[in-house]
Amino acid sequence: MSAAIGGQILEQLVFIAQTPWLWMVCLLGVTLGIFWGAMPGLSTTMAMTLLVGLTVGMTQAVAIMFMLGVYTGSVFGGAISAVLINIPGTPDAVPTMIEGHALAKKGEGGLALGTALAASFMGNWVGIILLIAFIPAVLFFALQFRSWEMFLLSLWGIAVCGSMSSTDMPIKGWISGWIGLLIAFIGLDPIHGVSRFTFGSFALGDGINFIPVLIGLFGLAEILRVLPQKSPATIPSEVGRVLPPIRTLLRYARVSLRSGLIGTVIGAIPGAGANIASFFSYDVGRRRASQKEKAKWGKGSYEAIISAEVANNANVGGSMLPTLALGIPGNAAAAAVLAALELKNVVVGPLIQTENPGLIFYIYISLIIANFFMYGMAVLLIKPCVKLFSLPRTLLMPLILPICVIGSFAVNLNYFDVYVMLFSGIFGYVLHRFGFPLAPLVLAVILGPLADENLRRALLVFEDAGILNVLWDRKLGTILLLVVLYTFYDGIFKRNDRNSNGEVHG
Amino acid sequence: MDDRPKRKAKRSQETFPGHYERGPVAGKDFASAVVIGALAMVFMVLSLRLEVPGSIYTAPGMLPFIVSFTLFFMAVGLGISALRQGSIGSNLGGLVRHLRNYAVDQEGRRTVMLIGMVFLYVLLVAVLSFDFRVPVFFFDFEITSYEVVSILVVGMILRIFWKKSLVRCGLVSLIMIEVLVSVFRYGFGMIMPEAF
Repeated sequence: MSAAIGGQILEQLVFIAQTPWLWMVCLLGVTLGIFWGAMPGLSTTMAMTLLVGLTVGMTQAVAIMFMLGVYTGSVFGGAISAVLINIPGTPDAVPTMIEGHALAKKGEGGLALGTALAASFMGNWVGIILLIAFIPAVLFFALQFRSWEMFLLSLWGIAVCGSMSSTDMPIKGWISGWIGLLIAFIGLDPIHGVSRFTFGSFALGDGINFIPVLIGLFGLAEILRVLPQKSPATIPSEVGRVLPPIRTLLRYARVSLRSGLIGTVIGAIPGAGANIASFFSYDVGRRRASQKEKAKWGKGSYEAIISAEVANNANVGGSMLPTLALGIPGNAAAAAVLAALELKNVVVGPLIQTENPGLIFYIYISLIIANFFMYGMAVLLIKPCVKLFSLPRTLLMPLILPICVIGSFAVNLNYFDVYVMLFSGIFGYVLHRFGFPLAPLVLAVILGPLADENLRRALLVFEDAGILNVLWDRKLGTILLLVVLYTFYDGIFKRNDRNSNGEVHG
Repeated sequence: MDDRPKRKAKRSQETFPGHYERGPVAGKDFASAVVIGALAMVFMVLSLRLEVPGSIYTAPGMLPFIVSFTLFFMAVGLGISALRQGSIGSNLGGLVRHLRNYAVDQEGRRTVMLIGMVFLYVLLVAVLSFDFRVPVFFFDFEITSYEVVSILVVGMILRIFWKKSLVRCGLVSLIMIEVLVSVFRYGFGMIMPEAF
């Protein structure tokens, strides 16, 4: 069996090595992905869904290589706009934005991006290696997450994000998240098709898409916040050192491994996605950091960037696992890869290895190649990007406005989404003025439908079972429930204790 | 011992975007608590009024009710923490002063003006719909209402905030918008907002 697998891997390696065209396509995909991700408000999912159309005329091997190149490139690209202009391309880049932009303002934008790049590179590797080594174990663990566990995981994601983004007063973070949940409930309910909070509006029946909300809250709100300032702060144009020294990276080896593990496992859980992975790893990273490092958290910590970036990049490999092995996309971007595969008549699912021998290995080798290209291209692009984004904000910000409109419109080709972006932007500006963090709101809009559907399904399954039976039978769910309760307890009581002792900073 | 000044000092530390912004917040917190509490009550009522087609366990209003119910208590918690820092009167007085300063302050007025311009931009793109086709060698170069509106509005915003000459702002706006739209339209085959 293992000899057969070895043979298949070798066969794929030889095929790729003999086809330079594949390498060029991968480089093209990675470059397009980085540029796309670097544009404020344009997400990985959007890149994947729009570029899947370009794969129609390609062969199966070329299409897969191209899509994985775009995927890998755009995940890193999101960090560029997040660090340099404080507008994340994707929700999972929010922790990187918080830490990286603080460093960019100190003139360390190049090194912050270099660290994010090295972390992305490591994250991809950790994800791929862990998956190849532990496919059955990761898949077994991921499949333990049923409706009840998925509901708790979503709730936990929002709770962690709330307490992380509002460290002194977690209640404000949770309120922001809860408002996001209420926004997520707007539209037809997924089980009975009952209209919720639509007030008779046909446009609201489809619900509120998270991409216009993200663009509004982080793109437009940032424009409204920065542009009217008398002298908006710009990031220094001096790039300085970009790539962190190897010794520094080795110091974070344990952090990288831990974050990679978190990213891979969460990526393998269908529907969980990079958003939960990145915030969860960011939270775990803060808890495990030394007191000295903890003090830097939120004000520009390299360790924090590594925690978040390794996790969301390890998630790329992780999300491929349920996509390929079960036919359930790990996240929206992985769904676009699935669409590209189906365009090429590949039926993904448990029989993929039987019907398309060697395809899984081809995909993982493609991910490895894309990872190398991503690293090379990003090293070349970091310095010009820092120079570009160090232009005066009064010049940059107005030019971002049309991108916000195009980005919102392109999601469903529906102008209603542009209005959603507009109102989200104004709402985000007001929330910011009143001291509420915006990240939990976006995360809740994404995870709300998942939480709603899974809770109701779980309650239906548990209808005749007693509470004690449920707690005993669903041990993973019980652990998650305790973790959720602890997160709230920690936010309310322990955080207050630490604040009064002056331990916690920003 | 009263630890109020210490807390206030701690809560006025510098902030970072996406994060909870501290500052003279008690008045803002109190006002937020009132508004969010009222919002939560409205959503509670709306959730209860939703029809229940099947079992109570799959009721469409169940999770929205739980969320709005807990949101109400969070708002109460926020309100109490604001009241610990000052009476209702002083909280509201602080908020009114803050809003008055914001209205008088140049930054506040510029923000309101910018919001107005963005509103105008979004409305104009929605309302206007026209396109011209200019033959360039072997293909038709398209100029649509989206580009025209974008060039004008972005040029105007640049003129006000970047403060360079009208010609320079117009030129930057024209070049940037045309490059952007061309990349999306011809490179990625995307439809621009004016098409609907």
